[in-house]
Amino acid sequence: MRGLAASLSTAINRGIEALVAILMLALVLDVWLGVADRYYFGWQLPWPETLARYLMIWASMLAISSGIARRAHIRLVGVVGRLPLPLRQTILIGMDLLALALFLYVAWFGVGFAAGGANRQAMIFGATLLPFYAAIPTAATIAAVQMSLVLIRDLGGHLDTPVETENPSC
Amino acid sequence: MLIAALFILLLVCGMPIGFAIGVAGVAGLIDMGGARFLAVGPGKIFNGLNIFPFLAMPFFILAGEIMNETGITRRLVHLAQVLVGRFRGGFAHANMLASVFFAGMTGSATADAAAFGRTLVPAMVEQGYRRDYACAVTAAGSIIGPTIPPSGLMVVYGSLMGVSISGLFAAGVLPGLVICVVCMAVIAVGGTREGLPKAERGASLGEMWQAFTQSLTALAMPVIILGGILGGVVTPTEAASIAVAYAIFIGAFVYRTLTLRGLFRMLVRTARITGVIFVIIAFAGILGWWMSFERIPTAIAESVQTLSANRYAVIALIVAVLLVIGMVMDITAILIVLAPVLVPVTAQIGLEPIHAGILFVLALNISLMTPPVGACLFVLSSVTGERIGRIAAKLMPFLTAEVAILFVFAFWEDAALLIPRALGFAE
Repeated sequence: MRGLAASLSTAINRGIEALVAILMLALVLDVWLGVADRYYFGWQLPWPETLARYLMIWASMLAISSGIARRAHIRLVGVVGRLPLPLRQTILIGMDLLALALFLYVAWFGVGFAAGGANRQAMIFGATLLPFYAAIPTAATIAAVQMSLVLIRDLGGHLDTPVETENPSC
Repeated sequence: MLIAALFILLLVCGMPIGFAIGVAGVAGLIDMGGARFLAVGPGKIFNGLNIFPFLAMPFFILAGEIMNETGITRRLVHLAQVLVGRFRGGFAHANMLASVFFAGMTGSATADAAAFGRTLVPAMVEQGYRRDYACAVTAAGSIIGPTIPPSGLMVVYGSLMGVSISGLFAAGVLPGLVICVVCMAVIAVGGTREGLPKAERGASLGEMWQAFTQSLTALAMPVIILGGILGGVVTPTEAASIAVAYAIFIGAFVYRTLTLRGLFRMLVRTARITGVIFVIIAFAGILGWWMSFERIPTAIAESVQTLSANRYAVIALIVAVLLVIGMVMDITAILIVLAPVLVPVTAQIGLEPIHAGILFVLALNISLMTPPVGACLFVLSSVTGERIGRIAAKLMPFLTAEVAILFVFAFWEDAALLIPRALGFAE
């Protein structure tokens, strides 16, 4: 069961990371186009800046699940890491369950939020805000699925066998 | 109070900081009006991220990743070594100087610590330096990275608080250089006591010239970034995107070390690092809305005013709060949670917004190297295998000097705003 969860987590994460890389590339190209337009071509395109914001939101929201899969999100382990193993594992499972509930909440209410975007114009390409607002429930759902999988995979043991440490603090 | 207690409990129990902010925010929404306000959350998350200047952050991270991967860091370190390697403790001085070069390319202290921890620390140990001392010098220099622009923390602060990011970048230059000079003085003063080695011979002028020409393309990057932003030619986001283009160009065509596979890996890593930071910002949108609704920032500002109306006492209090909380919490999270609370206090005592911003950034940068949760200490410890306690002990003289610099710039507005005023960013 834990092996299956680990395999599923890795497979989903691989797909998400590929998608995130494509979104990041699109983001880079979009901002370059905006810069080239402003300083060279002078087309005065109205959409690169807006599109860049939406691409950034999609990429960074999807990347949250990648951080979950790799246990890369910043946390304090000074206290919980010193607790006896059974207590530590119980607490960490509890924290994972609470995080899962948080993402389920965002996914659930995010659907209504995204649906509300169908009635609002995005100011680019004549589109509504639905495809951009949809980043929130979609990313939260994927994060919830990934959270469930890593919960089963690690069962509160991730401090003892860290997957990856990545502290991006400025 | 209950929400604050819940947040601290979740942190202590090992929940990721961003998620703990989210749970506390949702608890705040429930506290406000039962389930009625729950539907507000996703909108606050979206709006919290829908800010154009935030784009500068992933771009600067990506530029730094590319510069690091393509061997530019190695060239800058070599240049620093040939310039100051001849003095007693030359490698330690070179470490500091390389931090300044590196700072102009990436706004990350942990990137600096990781890069130098892998390259300079082993080289210093080989030259006869104690490993704990080499790590301490690297940690002390690493905070120059996010102080001299570009700086991710300044991007977040400027975006959230509506302060000119270019103005903050301008304000970071002088403190960053002062930190370098003072830390080099600390190295020089303690050189004999620490028994720091001295190079048998200094580099010749020819060697210096060769190192300089090899690093020229790398050194041009800060000039492009800072010149463009501070000269008012481009916005920080545009400068960041140009930095990425420049890094890709020299990685692919000048040094020929950048591959498509490597670029893919860096794009994913950049997105993941951005996601790890942005999840904090996203969920802080909910918590921040609840705090504003409950008028918590105003209440705290009024409480501080009743404690003391003295400008310097209030500044000292804010710095102390940031340094103490910075000892146990991630600095981006502190900035996102505390800036909306403490900035109104700085406004009440008449602190110029850019001055308040640089005070925040400097204090939080210093907490990157204070135990027990100093990110740079963790990075150096994991990269070099040195114990955190031993690094922290050797770090004390540097830490003392940097805190003193912080207070100088906090109390002396003319010094803090010297460059922003000269460039027209502050009055």
